[in-house]
This record gives sequence, C-alpha cells and structure tokens, in this order.
Amino acid sequence: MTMTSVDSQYPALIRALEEAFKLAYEAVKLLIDNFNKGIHNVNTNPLIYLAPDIFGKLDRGVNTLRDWVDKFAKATEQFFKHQAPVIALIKASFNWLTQMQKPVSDIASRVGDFEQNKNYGEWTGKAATYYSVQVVARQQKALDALSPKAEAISKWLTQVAQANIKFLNTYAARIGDIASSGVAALISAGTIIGALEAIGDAAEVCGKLVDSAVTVFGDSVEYYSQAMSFMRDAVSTRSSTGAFPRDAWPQAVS
Amino acid sequence: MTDLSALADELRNMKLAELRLPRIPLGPRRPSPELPAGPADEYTAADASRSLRVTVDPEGKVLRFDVAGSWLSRLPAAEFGSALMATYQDALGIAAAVERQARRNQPEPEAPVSFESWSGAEDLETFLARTRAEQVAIGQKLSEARESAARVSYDVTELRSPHGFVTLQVRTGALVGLTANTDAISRAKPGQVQQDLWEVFGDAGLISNRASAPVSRPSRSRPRVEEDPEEDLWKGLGGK
Repeated sequence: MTMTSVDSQYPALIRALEEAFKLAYEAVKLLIDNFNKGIHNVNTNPLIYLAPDIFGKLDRGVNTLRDWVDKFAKATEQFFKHQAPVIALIKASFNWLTQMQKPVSDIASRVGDFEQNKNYGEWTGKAATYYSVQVVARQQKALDALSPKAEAISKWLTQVAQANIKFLNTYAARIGDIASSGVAALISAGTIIGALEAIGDAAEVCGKLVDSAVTVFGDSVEYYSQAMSFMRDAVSTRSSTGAFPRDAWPQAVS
Repeated sequence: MTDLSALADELRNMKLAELRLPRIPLGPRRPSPELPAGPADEYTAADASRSLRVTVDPEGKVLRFDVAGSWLSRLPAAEFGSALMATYQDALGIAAAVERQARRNQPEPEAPVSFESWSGAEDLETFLARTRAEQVAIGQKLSEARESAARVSYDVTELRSPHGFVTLQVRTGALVGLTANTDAISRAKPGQVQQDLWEVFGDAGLISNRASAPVSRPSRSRPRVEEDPEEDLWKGLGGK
C-alpha cells in the first residue's frame, strides 16, 4: 500500500464510514418504527375483542419482541457512543498522515544531503564532524524508521475504519431484514392470530441474529487484533533506543 | 462527520409502544377447535350447532361455505352473523396453527453471518467499490421497507353482499367484522345464503384461487331465492 494511493482514498473511506453509521442508525430506527406500528395494528384491530383466549400468549410474545428491539437499540446506542471518539481519531489521524507522512518521507530522503545547502560544505572542524557523523546519522536512522512505520499506522487506521464499515454494514443489513420481514408482517397482519405468528417469527429471527452476531463480533475482534499488531509494531519503533535514543522522537519531527 | 453522539441520543429517546389489551369480562370459554394431525390441503371448522362450516386453504383463503339446510332449526337467525364469524376465525386459526407447526418442522437453512472472505487482502480501491455497492443496496432496501410500512392503512372498509344478507368489515385484507341482516337471512334459502357469502367474500379478496366456481351461480341482478330445490344438510359451494 503506497501512501499516494491510500492518501487519495481517505476521503472516500471516511464517507463510507459515515454512511455505514447512518445506515445502521436508519435500520434500527426502522425496526423501532415498525415495531410501534405493528403494536398499533394489534391495539386497534377489532378482532382483539374476539381473542381473549390468546391474550396471555400475545402479551408474552410482545414483551419478548420488545425486549429484543430494546436490546438492539441500546446496543447500537452504546456502539455509537463508544465509537464516536475512535471515529474522530481516525479522521484526525488521516488528516495528520496526509499532512505529515509525505513530508517525513521527503525529509528522510534529504537528511545528510548537502546539495540543498551549499554552506554545509564550508562547515569544517570538530563540531562539523560530530554533526555529520553522529547527529545526521541518528536522524537518518530515525526518519528511515519513522516513514515506513507511519505507513503502518496509516494501514492500521485504514483497517480499523474498514472493520467498522464491514461490521456496521452487516449489522444494518440484518436489522433491516428483521424490520422489513418479521416486524413488517406484524404491521400488515390482518388477524390477531396472524399478528401473534408474526411476533413469534420476528422474536425468533432476533434471537438467531444475536446468536450469529457472536460470529460477527468474533470475526471483528479477530480482525481488530490483527490490526492492533500494526500499532504495537509502530509503538515498538517509537521505543527503539537504536532509532530513537533516550526515548525521544527524531529531532526533525519532535 | 456525522454526529454519532446525537444519533445515539436519538436512539435512546425513542419509545417502544405498549400492548393495550381490552378488559373483556370473563365469559364461558369456547372450546378450542380440534387440530388435524398434520398439514393438509384444506382445513374445516364448524359452529357449535353444526349449522355452518367454513373450509379454507393453507393460506386461510375460503374454499367453501356450507350452510346446513335445517340451520334455522338449530341456530337462531340473530346469531347467524356471530356464529359465521367465529367459525371463519376458527378455520383460520386451525390453518395458521397447523401450517406454522409444519414450517417450524422444516426450518430453512440460515445464511451464515460472517465477514466471509474478508481478510484485508483486497486493496482499498476494491474494498471501497464493493462497500459503495453494498451500501446502496442496503439503503434502497431500508427505504423500500419504510415506504411499504407507510402504505399500510388501518381503515375499515364495509362490503355489503349482493343480496344484502351480510355486511363485511375488512381491514388490511382481513375480515374483522361481520353483521347479518337477520330478517332477510331467515327468509333465504341456504343455497342462496352460501352464494351470497361466496360473492361478498370474493369481493373482499378472501376466496382461495384454488376454489372452483360454484355449480350454479345466481346472477346478482336476478336473485333466485325460490330456485333452490335442494334441502341437503350441507350446501357446499365450490366444494367437491
């Protein structure tokens, strides 16, 4: 992954991330709206007066389904709250990388290149020797290490963004399925028996989604773990005493 | 950037509706209709006086109405409407219960939810192109689902049968009320009542497309009240 190609795709990645959050929000909102309309259907259906025999089942079924809808709404709310600072960090970091990584790469290639400043050639003596041999060499080493690691950080951020997008798209699609099938059947159910069936089906699908979400979360966590290795790698570079003596950032960027 | 905290707040503030069941005074409970052992092509329910039978297909659409020739001797005319409504509801209930059980016994294979082959191996450009297409499809599906829900109306439509023996109240494609004209129905021949029911249920979209046309279908403009010579126990229309 070269900086140039990724650099130009940051805006598209941020847009895709924003769209993923928007779709997840819309899916959960649709689920809530459809649930409410479905309950309105039951409450206002004249057949309810003919169905006292199934009031108990109806009450239990609606409570179960409401609990699921409530759980999805709360989980999404918490996810959004938890991810808000992460997403802000990703966006800020992309900006930082766009502005910083290329200059760092440029600096690395130019450290010790006295072509840019002819006066260097006129500087002689012990101080000049020390600077050329010790300081420039150290800066060169640090910047050489930083540039590829900055690229690793950008890759890590990209992958965190991708993991969020993938997870949210999967989530939005599945919640959308529930809202547009099981819960929608409750909206259009003509009979109380039909409504009871729709409630049972929708609750069952909700339970299956939660079961399979374990897989989704599992995959997501695994992917985050892989992405984290990039961060650890970057941090290890930062703490490398060879490249960054006395735990200091290279002089050129400190 | 989308304000995620604001969206989170909106989700937290959304209210979930409560079920409001009417307080119905406890009366004698009707016995639950007997369920067949397994799924069938049709399901039949009869009223307590054995005067009325309604047969529906697995989707709950009517295949036949049977009105016993001597129904008036067993069922007061004033109770015809409520008895027919209850019998129809029982037939729907039987079909729904049996078919639901049959569906549960044959669960459809679930598509696994996973990141599939997503391993980060694809390049960013391919990922973004695939994501865009995926998001357009999800957005479209959500908006279609919202529009579809908005189209559902809970208005009740009244449909009067050709002979005026019954009036149906229909809501979201289902029968939610039925009133009978006691005077007219007590004077009608059973076959004519069946025909009248058949036609108005057809107008309401409640008849099965599997049902065959009645053998002798009276014209709406020329009621043939006096032309029903049969006095069989059951007068099936569209029956076998």
